[in-house]
Amino acid sequence: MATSNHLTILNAEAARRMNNGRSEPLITLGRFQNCTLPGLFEFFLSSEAVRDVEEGAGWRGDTDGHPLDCIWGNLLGIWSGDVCKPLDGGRNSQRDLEFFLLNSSEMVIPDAVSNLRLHEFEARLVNGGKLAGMPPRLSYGLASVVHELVENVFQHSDGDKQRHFRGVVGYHSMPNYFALSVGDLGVGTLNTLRLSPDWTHLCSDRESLDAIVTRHASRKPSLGEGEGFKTVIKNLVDRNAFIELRSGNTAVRIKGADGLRAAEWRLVPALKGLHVNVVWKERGLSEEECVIHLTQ
Amino acid sequence: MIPLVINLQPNRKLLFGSSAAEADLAQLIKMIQGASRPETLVNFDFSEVEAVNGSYLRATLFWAIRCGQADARNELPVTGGEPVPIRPYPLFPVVSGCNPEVATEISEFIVPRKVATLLVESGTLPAIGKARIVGHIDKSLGDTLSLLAAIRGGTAKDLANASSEAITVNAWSNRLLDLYQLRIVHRERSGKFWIYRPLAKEHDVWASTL
Repeated sequence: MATSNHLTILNAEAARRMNNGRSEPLITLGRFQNCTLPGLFEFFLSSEAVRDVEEGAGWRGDTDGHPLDCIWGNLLGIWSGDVCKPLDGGRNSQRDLEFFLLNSSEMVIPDAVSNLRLHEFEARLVNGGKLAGMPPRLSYGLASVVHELVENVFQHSDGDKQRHFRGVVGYHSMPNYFALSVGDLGVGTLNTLRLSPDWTHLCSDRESLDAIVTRHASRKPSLGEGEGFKTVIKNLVDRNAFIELRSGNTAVRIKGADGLRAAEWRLVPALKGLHVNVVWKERGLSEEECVIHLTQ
Repeated sequence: MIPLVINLQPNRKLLFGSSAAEADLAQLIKMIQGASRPETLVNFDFSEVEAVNGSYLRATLFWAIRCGQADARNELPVTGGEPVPIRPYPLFPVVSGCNPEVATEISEFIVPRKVATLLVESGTLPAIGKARIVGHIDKSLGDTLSLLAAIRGGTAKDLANASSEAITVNAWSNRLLDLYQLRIVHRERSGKFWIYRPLAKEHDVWASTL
């Protein structure tokens, strides 16, 4: 997994400014100078700040239904080029870097995943992939991934926490490179799958990820194989791309290898929820060439 | 000709996910519920669609196919499992306006599930001119469909008379019933016989197990 680098600590005044001058207690946030999109997500998902938000001990969602309703949201919005306006303010403009937060009061199952804002985000994501040089089918596959994972985030979250931060989707597009990250603060793949009578026997994070990757496990009983990750794997691993899933203390990276698929397993520090990265890049492009330059 | 046509045209370029599918399907269910249920051609008009995925297809097209099959087989409703229960509705689902990307996705979804559907290529519904069959249809059924189209519909006995194959009328009847259960032909009763008619005048078979 890519890791964030060159972190410095954001000072309190800058953080307050990013939070539109609100006076609530500030969370110490890292400031990134350079990082890849997966690294950025890894930092956020593993930070105490995010845990506080999820547990309701620190930042909670704004009650006016504004999509940028936590300090992390403000940061991501700023880095998306949307200073002081909601993410959907410039909905038709294509961006190299964009995030979609899964915490708005608009997003209620099942309308959440069919709402216009998400659809437009997916359309820009597809276009970003095409501009990066990805085959169109792969771009569509990525948008499909996003949709499936967003559905997962909401289906796996508790209904009474709709206003809380639930997760985030982001993409980073540049010539010959495209990265997609989805992170949520749900209960993780093991606890999710064990809700299904088909998967109660699972007893580790690795087993749950393996069930998803190799047997297309779904938490919905009697529905057969889940379509989400099957679509992801079918569309991604044979095309200079890899998909990485991280839940609990396990991460697995699946990539194409001479027409076959290879899985690399790793033990990692425990993380809430599920973190998925999909990265496509032309051969020869180094990781240093794929960083986001964050200068706010 | 099937008397009723329902046209479903999603107003989005990207059709992903079961939740969005269920929202689209709700419109169809409203229209087909009721005591009187005539045979209904359900056209999934994907002319505005750039891409679709398996979750969406499973909750829309595949649902309609399974409801149609349940009707053909006189099955009882299945209330467990699927988000939207499978009920016996006299549906004949077809898809129109597919770009190659969407057609490929439909094929990859349909073929492993041992069902079939028609991708409409020409005609004004409910009169389908040319259609591509996507899915699971074996050679004998393909030949039967071609013959049925050539004689512009008929009974099992009509097929036996028109064919040089040495099989019984009963065997023709079984083949026609298989095609009916696949929902690529429909039928109407005439006295004690069933007259079967293809949904389309011409068929290409694509991505099948022929």
